Amino acid sequence: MIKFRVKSLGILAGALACCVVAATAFATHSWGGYHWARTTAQFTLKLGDNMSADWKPYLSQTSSDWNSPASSSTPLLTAIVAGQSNKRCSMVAGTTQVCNGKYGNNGWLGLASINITGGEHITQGSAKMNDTYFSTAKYNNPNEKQHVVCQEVAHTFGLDHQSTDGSSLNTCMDYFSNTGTNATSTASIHPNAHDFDELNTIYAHLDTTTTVAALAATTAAHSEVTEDPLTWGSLVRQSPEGRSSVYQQFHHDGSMTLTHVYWTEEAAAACPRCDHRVYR
Amino acid sequence: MVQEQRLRQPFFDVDARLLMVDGEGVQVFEYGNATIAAKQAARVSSDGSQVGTSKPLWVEPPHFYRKGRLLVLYLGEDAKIRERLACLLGPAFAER
Repeated sequence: MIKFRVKSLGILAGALACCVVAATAFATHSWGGYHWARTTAQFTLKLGDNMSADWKPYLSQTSSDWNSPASSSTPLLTAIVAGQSNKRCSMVAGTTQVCNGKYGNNGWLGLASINITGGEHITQGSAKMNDTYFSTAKYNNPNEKQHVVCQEVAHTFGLDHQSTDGSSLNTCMDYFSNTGTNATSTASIHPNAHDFDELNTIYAHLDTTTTVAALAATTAAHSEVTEDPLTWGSLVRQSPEGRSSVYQQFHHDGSMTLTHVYWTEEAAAACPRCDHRVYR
Repeated sequence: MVQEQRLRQPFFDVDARLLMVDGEGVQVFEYGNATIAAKQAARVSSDGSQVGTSKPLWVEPPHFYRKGRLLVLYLGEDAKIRERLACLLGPAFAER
């Protein structure tokens, strides 16, 4: 593995300036028309990382997936920042807090919640993964975990399910279960093109105000990027064959660190589209 | 039917009692009166995938029932249990 880093201030501005292609809407899986209010065509939503070490790679992959549409642009970028929540995963204004914990035998694997103002504008969100189930043999596998994190986080963007009949549309926004005989299946663990179509539809307009927290507005402690892959942040770019990856970690002073990784052939071949920190 | 334990759902404002029916858990939420229970029931989408502004990813298909001040949630596909609940509480008002 060859690795080098570029640390810079202000790269974010360039990322935010990416153009947005006009929406071509075929999909219709908006969650009730709910959306974050914002005044720019493209915006970045902070994902507060309150997850234990074993879950962090799945959040990184999720952030990377939603930042990387295969064939269109996206109006919504995500940035993983230090979690600001608590054991109950209380929401923090302008952000989505992402948590895992043993929430009990209440029947849900994952739970996404949003707060709304003015009938349609999301002001804050939370996404919880229930370790009461994920600690059991049935659910404790990488594909199911990836599916659920990808879906719960995206509900807080304003996305609903594409289907609920249990079949795979190869999107994490379906009810396919990566368990049992499907435990090794990587179907439905990433978003698909229709999800990005829907995001472009939902966010085709601009609002006159914003409910999204500014990236530099956090006061939590600075996160160091180290040799530990879990500190590299989100996967933001990867070559088609999966050999070269770029990770992005935002810091609380507004700066960010890019970590470039060149993977072994074996790691890349195992799953070219996957975050190799998870699938190795 | 044997009373087992209590549990909390973040999207309902009373704790549930988890009752075991033929070996499967049924969550029973008891509200102060029927009006409050009806208001809570109105927050559940017709397919049970949404409660207010929360979206639970259920481990089994949800079936919601209401009678008087009781709101009942069964997660599963056992036809006999659903029949018994419908007989006691009326047809499910939300289910997948």
